[in-house]
Amino acid sequence: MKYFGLVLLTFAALLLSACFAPPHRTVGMPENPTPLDSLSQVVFVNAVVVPLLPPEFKYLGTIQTEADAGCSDGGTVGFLREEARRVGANIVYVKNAQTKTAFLYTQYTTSVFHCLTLHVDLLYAEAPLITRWQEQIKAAEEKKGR
Amino acid sequence: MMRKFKFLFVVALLTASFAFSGEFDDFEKSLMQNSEPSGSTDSTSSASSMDAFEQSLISESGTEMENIYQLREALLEAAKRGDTAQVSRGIEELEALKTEDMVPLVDVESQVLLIRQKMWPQLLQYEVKRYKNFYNDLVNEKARYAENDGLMLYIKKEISKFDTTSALLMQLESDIDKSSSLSESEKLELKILLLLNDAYRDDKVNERIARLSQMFLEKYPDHPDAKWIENSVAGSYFRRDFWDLWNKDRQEHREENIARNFYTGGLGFNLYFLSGGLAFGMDELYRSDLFEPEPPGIYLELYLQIKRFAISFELLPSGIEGVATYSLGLGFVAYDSRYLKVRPYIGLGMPAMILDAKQDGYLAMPGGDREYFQEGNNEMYAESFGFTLAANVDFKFLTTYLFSSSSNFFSMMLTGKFGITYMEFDDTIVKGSGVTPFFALGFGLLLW
Repeated sequence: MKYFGLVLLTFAALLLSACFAPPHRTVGMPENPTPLDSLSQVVFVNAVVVPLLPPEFKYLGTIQTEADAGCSDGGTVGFLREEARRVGANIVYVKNAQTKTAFLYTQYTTSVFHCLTLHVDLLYAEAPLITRWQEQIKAAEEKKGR
Repeated sequence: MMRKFKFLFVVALLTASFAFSGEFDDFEKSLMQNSEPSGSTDSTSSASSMDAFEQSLISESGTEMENIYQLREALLEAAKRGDTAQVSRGIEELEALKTEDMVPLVDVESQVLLIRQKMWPQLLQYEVKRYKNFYNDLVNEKARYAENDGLMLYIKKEISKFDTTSALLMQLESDIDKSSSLSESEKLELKILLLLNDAYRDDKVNERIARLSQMFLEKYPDHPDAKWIENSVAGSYFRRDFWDLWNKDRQEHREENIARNFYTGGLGFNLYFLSGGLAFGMDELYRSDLFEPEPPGIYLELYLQIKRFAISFELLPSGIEGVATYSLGLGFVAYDSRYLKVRPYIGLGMPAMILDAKQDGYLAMPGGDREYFQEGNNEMYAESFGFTLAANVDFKFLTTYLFSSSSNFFSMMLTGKFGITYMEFDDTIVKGSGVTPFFALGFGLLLW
């Protein structure tokens, strides 16, 4: 009971932190971006599986996310998807995925967080395979919505 | 069992003809589980979808599949005979039959056949075509694959001879170098493309792709594939080291980032080592026969700028020896640039001076009291009021990024202060009023 308040506070802090963008650094992002059409899907592409970029594409920046207390994998991926949409990218090309550790020190406890950190390029490209991926995502979302 | 695992591993390693599922949840799950990529539609994923009996039924059905299996059989025989022309033709024929729903020959089979026959020009041609069409080739999730035949067994056996612990190119490099059928540019291009099989699994491979691509672009800038290599093949590898990229970007955009910060604010601290000025109307400010002034020697200023406005706290010099003003100022940044910043301000303050007694004596206080003072005693006299109009002119001779920030800076400045103060003293032994134009020169630090 003694620590109940602390546990509640930590839980609330973690819950809130999932809503915020993870710490990150960016390079090459456009200053006046044109956001992606709301109907277009953002595709996450694993570079290990797809080791080269489309023949024609528009490079819209590189992002490196970092570990932080209260991180969540879903939050990180969601943030990147929103960033891609914001700068007009339909591809999040994931070049490196690592699990890094962050610590949260309080008076009574030390919490350890294992955070997914991603190094990605944001691109806009059009190609049959990309359209196929987008269709697959849309179909999956529709299936989920039902 | 181990052999099967090895086969699956090598196939996964060599094959890039994945119809990658970009569905968010699957990918996130794979990231979280740290698993190898899934969702392939190559022979790995379909290997168990059909058993030998079904296979035999298909091959006996006299359909298109029968033709495919006959071509595969012929290809196998050609490979066993070492008939390179026939192998080349066989691959082309099977490739021509490929559709979204039918895969007669998977990439790894073609690769292994061409590698084992040391058909380097054909392998280069195959790899270029394969990667150039990577984003155009579509294979349905439920596509049928030709498999479980003699050719597949042969490929499996050949794959088992590869060393799965090292990159594919490492095992082939000396053969490619020795090849007389490839030009130097072709050798380089083939090496780059073969390295893609192991890309993003090993940093050394990524680094090598970038290095070889750079070499290719420098040596053969007019090669028809140069633009493709630069953008599609090597583009992401040139951006592989985020911190290097970030540092370069910071350096490249330093001037733009600095310019973006003009008139935005900051925290500054100035120290003035050299000062001087004039005084009007304060000739008899104190008894110079009894006291001598003790100047502070150093003057300073601390200011906080928000947008174009600045609040400052300072110890100002004056044109009268020993008189300094504690002042609170409100300024406005009239001009800001890469090297120069001009900040006029008005200040309200309290001029003060420290006087040393030259000899022992008594001081007559109001009300008839007397106060004794000894030689060498010093005291501050400050019952006064001051009003200042001045301008700071800063020369930012050095500006660097503040730690790892890309939007905050640290500047070192030569700073000058020029102004005029009206002051009134109404103290026991310091009395008078007047105007004093002054200047001060020094050194400043600015975080902005």
